[in-house]
Amino acid sequence: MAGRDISPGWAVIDAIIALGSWLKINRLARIQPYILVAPAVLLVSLLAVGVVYLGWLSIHSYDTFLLRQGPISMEQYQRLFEPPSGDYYQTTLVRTLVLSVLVTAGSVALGLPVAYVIVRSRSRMLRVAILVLLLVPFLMGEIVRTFAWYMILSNRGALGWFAGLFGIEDGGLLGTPLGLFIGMLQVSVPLVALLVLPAVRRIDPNLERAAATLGASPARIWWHVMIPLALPGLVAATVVVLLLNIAEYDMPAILGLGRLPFVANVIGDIYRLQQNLYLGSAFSLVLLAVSSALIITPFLLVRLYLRLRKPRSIS
Amino acid sequence: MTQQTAALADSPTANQTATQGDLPIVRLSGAIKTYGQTNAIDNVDLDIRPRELFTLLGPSGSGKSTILRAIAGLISIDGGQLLIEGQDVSNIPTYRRNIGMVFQSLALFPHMSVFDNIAFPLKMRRIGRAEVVRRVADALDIVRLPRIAERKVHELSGGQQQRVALARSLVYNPSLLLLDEPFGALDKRLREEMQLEVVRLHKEIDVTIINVTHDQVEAMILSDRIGVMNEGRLVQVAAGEELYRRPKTRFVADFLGRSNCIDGVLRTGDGSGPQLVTPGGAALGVDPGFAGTAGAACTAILRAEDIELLTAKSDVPGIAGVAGQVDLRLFEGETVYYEIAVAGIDQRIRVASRSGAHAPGASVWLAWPRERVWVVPEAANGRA
Repeated sequence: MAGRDISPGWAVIDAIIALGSWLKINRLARIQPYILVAPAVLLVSLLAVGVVYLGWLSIHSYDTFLLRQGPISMEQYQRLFEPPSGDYYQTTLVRTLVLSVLVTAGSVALGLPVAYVIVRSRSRMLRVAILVLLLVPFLMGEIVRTFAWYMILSNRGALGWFAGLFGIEDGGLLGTPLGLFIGMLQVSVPLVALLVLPAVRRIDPNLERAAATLGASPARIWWHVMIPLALPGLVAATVVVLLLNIAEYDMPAILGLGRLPFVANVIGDIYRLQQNLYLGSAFSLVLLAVSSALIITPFLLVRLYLRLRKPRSIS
Repeated sequence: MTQQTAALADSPTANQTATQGDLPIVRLSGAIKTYGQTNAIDNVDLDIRPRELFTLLGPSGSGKSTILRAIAGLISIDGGQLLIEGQDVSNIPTYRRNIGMVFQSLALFPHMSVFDNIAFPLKMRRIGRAEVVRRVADALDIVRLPRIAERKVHELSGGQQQRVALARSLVYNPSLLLLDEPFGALDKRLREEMQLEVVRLHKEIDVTIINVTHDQVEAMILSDRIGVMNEGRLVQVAAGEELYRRPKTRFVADFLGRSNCIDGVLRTGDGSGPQLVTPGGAALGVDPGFAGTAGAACTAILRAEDIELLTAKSDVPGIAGVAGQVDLRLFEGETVYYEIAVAGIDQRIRVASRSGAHAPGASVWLAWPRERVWVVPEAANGRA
């Protein structure tokens, strides 16, 4: 002890360094970037394991009375797609997809101009005001926001009262597709606006002015200049909003009054009420497959658009 | 005139301007544009003649670009009138004005090829495919670009981009072409090349050009006439040489070239002609033509290159002079720049001399031809 007055803490660190150099830990520097993505990869692959497990469950039959797993079979998928039970699940799936696509289209149509106004407005006050209005609903939380819409859309709420002024009774929109559409649109528009904002900001305002001097009307400036230049942002926004809408749960549950369930609501019911993990897994995987296929649509639309805008090339 | 340019010039709009004769193609009367508290342009009256190359010259923020944007319809004026080819255009949006404009940033569409950029205005006019191909090729020929139609804009050099922007704004035969400092960001050699290109185009094509710049050399080289702007006002409109030799105000004299603006009172002087006497007592001989305005407070404008430096006083008729002492000497190449202290004058006199014989501290005699000294009455310097 007397000869070595190194404190024990430093001794441990020295040992670690010695061990490290013995293991040639420096070589790890080369794979450092990969180490940084490891947590993300780990999380995603854990999820993949879950999906594989769902897949495994979904191809078994299940005795709902004895709560016992049966042999491998396509029974769950048959229940989803074959009458009589299949009608309900298919209606739900179609409702989910149609409303999601409509809401996404509507929110892109409304969100892009909002982003444009934020970027081009000269008034700082206006810019900040719009941004705050866009962000406040996100800060409210999903449930509070949904119940706010519940109060607005109900027969005895703001909308019902307003309709009453014109002698219309029960003018609320709760439980109707339109009411659900409005509620979902309100969530999606700010998302689209925020997602396309960077793309719109990168567009040189002189391009619009130049297009105008060259003879392009405002509508044609949008079609030929603004939209093509905002396209990367638009595709990203469309994909994100579409996915969020397809997976929507609270709005259909609350604003739909249970009459307009989305796939997520039905899966929830299957798990909680029927306690049938096997059928729920099958429906989850169907939703996953359909929405994955749907994600390709924005990219296909871009191709179609590019072909429409530029029908020919010089030869 | 080449075959292509003949084809371009042979358009309805071109014929129209030719028959209109002396009617101004653009007329601003009492034009005002206000941003907040300040007037970006303040009561501007301006006539642009058909076929002329007109330059609006002024420091940044003087309102020259504002005038250009008003003509293009990108902004509206708050007061006064703007006529294009005799027609009030206040209700005509930009895209119906049929005006060509080249922006400082060029504003080429980054998502389109060179061909599509130049074809864009033709497509907006719903011109047929074959005609578009022909006219784009003609336009590329006119700006002397090689076959680069299929390239993307970002693959071009700076000079090529300039030419594409020019071609795009000429391909639909606008009767009016607006240049909003498109050469401002170029290096000197390329800038000169493009300036000559504009002069050549102006000669070959039947088009009126309004150019905006803060570069006095560019203005002098290019223009038939120059309008000098300061703080939103149009100070003087004249040909370059007229502006240089006979500036209306001190600002114009100061902005164009290197001049000495010396305040004082005009006196009848000695036998040889009128003199400007400074508050400090220095007497400077000026152009005899100003003898009539004796007694008035004036500013004498003495160009740096009009002054010759001598070692001793000389008495040549028509040559005025004053004694001074060299304060600063800078070798600039073509000339040697001096700053010279003269008793009775607060500011240093700036001299651009071809001889570099005088060292700092040396006593010299500054001599200049009397008729080269222009005099501006003090009243003219109030606003501008």
